[in-house]
Amino acid sequence: MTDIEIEAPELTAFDEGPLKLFYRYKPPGGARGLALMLADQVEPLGDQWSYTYWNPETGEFAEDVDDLVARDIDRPISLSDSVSEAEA
Amino acid sequence: MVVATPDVTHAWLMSNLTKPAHRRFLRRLALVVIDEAHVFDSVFGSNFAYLFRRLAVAARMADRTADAEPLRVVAASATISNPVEHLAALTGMAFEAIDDTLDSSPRYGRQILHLACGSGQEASAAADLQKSMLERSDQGSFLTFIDSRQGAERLAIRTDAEDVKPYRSGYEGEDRASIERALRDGSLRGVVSTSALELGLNIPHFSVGLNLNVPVSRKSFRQRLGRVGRQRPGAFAILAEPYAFRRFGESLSSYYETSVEPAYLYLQNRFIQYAHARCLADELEMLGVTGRKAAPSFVEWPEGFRDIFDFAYIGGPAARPREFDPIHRIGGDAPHYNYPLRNVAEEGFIVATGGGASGPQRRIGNLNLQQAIREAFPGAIYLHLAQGWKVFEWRSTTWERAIRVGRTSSRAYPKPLLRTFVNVSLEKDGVVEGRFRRGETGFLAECQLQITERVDGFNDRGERKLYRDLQAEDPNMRTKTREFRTTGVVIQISESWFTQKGIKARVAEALTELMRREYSISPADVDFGATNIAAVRDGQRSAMVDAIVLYDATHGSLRLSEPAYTTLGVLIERLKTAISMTPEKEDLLPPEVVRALEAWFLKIGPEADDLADLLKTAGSDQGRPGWLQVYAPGSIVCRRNAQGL
Repeated sequence: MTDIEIEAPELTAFDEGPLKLFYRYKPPGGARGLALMLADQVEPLGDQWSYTYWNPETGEFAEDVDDLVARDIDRPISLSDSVSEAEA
Repeated sequence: MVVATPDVTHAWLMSNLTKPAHRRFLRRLALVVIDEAHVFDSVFGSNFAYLFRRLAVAARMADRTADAEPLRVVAASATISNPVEHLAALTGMAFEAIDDTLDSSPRYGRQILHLACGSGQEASAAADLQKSMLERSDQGSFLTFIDSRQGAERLAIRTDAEDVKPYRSGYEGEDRASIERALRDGSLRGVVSTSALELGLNIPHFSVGLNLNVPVSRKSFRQRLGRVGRQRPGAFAILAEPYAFRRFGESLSSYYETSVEPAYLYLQNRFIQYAHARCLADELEMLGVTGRKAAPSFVEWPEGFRDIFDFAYIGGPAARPREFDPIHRIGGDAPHYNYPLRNVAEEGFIVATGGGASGPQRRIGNLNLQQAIREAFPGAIYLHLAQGWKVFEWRSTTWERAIRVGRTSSRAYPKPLLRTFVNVSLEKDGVVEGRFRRGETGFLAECQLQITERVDGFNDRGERKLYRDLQAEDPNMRTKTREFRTTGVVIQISESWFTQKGIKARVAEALTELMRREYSISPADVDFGATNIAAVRDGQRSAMVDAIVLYDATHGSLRLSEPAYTTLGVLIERLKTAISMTPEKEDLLPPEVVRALEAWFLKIGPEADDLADLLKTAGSDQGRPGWLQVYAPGSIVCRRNAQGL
């Protein structure tokens, strides 16, 4: 696996096939040119990524910030809460 | 004779089968006593079921004489409604029950009360009560249960008394032992605990028990109740808002009188199976079975285990599917140590102070990732033994997984800004057992899901602080993410009432809460999503804005959310009963929403054979057509192979 930095999503069709989602990314090593990767070949790893919503027709991005609500810190507990250090 | 927890049996006894003493013990093992058998349900019980079978294999293989006797098992349980069936599933053996008609243990009277207080005021009411008890009496002690680890810490701090301590998991052994000693010798007047004190510790002198909110399962309620009034008459009070019982179609009396729920086991969870298959393979190797192996046939293995065993060891006849890579990595070279019994294996962190210029590093506790992003996110104040610790840094490298903290006296506790993304697989393989029912205005389905939980910042005294803004000044202020695959039930309703502001979240929350109560599911084990839901088809993720998802919060799924598909009608009926018992302003959901939900459900058709055709159109008529969920520009991700164009 190789780390890549996403530049933008792109819908592209090849050989009159259906439109598929690709990602344009920065070519490795500072090389010039176009680097595209099929969406299903890309996986998140680490913490430096995020989801967003994209409308291919208008090119708009939307983050749905209304979803970002403060949730109570209280976490429901489970049986794992009864484990003691010696047992774990 | 060995007296051991299942955890020690798993990690110590079973990982040392080459040692002569261990083999000798197993060769002579004739009787297994399982105490508190009702504890062995859910994830812990499912893990125990495999551990028991592995123990039976090791005992049999250590004694290869022709007249070797099978193991005998005696089990004891206090609160369980299906003991014979449960123990049969737990051990694969037949049991005979000796029931409570022969019980002659001493009993004292207990008063059980519902102390009504304002919604959200439970903790302050409990703190006042605790202070009052300490002031007005110098006799006896109390035990307060709260279903929140950090909540237990906060309540102990609010009570502000030297002889009241918090108690929960995640403490170092020495700290726990000190609290337990003080409890036994009576020097502590009160304890605020999570379920950690529900079982195991035999401390008979509690005269008062308090419980913040209604315990989610009756089994847990009985267990907590049983901690009080063991030496003399006692009282147990539930502090909850006035409609806490009626809101869910119950009363305190019916809650107490209804029989305790059955114990549930999830023996088909393939990640639990994989962890035990790896342990079994190691054990067979230690017992002299080299090369190709098979799960011994003299033990009854749950469905699916043999198939998984075939790819759980090097040289096995099958190739390991990719979805098992993470659970394999967690096991490392020591599966007995790295796969815990009490939860499905999850990445863990130690919480430590000091290090570098701040002096020697001192470990103060441990957290798994699910707990860490809620309790110890960057910028949080992590409470531990009623002391606040400011979280400075997460270190996550191959050789170190630590959360670095420093002491603080601040009493302003930031809350995490958590976002949950739910990706629903709407492909044929993504629908569980063909469970897809289409209606005139939506569908009901049980599907494979990918859940992403992400803390993007925190709310500090009313101010929203996002890591993307804080990062410039402090590079340690970064988002933290937890991802897992599971299953859940998708309810899609293309009707205008459903997408009105706030309705989806209320419906999802009400159904989840009812399901937890109706089927006695631990609150930590199921969750819901009402926003940020996307349908995945052909590698693309389309936003679904008119759907909710009730899902299993455990990695790999225990399919606890299944009743939302199989008995949604029952849950809607319960909802109708509940709203008939409360004044309209206290209703769980507005009556018109319940009526609309029922009308939608009555139009849902049966499961159909042409699933592939149905799925082509499902999710494509969502309320926000054309919007795709994508990785944001600037995201650093991985490309899987060298197929870049």
